[in-house]
Amino acid sequence: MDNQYNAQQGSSAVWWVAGILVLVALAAWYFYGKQTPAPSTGTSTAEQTQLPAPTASNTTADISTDLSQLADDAAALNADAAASAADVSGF
Amino acid sequence: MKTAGIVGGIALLLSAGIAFAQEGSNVAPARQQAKEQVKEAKGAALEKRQAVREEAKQKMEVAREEAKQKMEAAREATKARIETVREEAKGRVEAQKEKAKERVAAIQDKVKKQLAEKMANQFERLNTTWTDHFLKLLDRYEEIAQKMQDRAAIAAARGKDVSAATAAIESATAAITTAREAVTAQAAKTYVLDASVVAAATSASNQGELVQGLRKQFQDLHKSLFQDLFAIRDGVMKTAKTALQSALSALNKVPRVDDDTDDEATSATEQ
Repeated sequence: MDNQYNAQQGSSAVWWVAGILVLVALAAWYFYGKQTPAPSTGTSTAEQTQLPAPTASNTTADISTDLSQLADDAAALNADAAASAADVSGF
Repeated sequence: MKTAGIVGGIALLLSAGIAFAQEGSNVAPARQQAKEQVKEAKGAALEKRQAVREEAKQKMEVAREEAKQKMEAAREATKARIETVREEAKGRVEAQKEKAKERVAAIQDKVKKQLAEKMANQFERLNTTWTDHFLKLLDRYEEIAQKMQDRAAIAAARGKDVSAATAAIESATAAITTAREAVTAQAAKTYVLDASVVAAATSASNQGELVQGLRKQFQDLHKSLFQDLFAIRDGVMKTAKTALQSALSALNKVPRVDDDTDDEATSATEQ
């Protein structure tokens, strides 16, 4: 009877220890996952940006199109700065 | 007597009619001749004008070709200069990079180490990428300025006053040159970890100091790189684009600037 009781107690202790270990592992995974954000891919937006082909003629309308087709760099450079800042703060 | 008088009067009237008719037949060829002379003179003047325009067009073609070659040469020279300054910069920071690698290699935390390795090269790569991008944009700005010059030359050959537009295009070209110089100077800059100010990790105990030192370095490099790139984007690059826009609006103020047909030749043909 005592032996059966002891065996039951032993197996529940093992379960407790396993449960605690799982919880610790999950907590560690969550903590480190939050602490070090996934590093950015490292590809700059400028690398992906292709300049559109210029128009064929030199009328003022076409020149105006050529000028307006050139995208504003503000957003792309800001995005690179933000990605780089995230890497630095994740270190 | 009365009858003789009437007959005489009729005869006088008839002879006067004949005399007038004769005079009229002498005037018509003279008018015709004068008309032909005027027509010939007009034709000669038109031909002369067309010859002058043709000559101006040819001159413009030559000037355009020369400008294109000059632009190509300037581009090639900038490329070569950038290559040289980048090589020089590489040589200058080679030892510094090696030291930085040693410091990064001493990090025990795998994730942090990986991130540090990536960041150690990231700032240099971002500077190369963005300076290349700015140069590509400046090449395109130059093409646009060339198109404006061509359009102004066509208008000038047709007798239009393009002095304001030409001055604005020259300002834009100068702004592009200034921007090109600033971007070349930016390409020569280096953004490498200064390992001499980061404590070396001799044991596990000063890992924190090492990581803290590196973090400070990365923060400084990030700040300095983006301050420089923002200054280029919001400074010389913006100025060059604004100058081009001003040149375009000056060109738009030239009346019928896009009309390639020869007005006078057309009206003469119609006559």
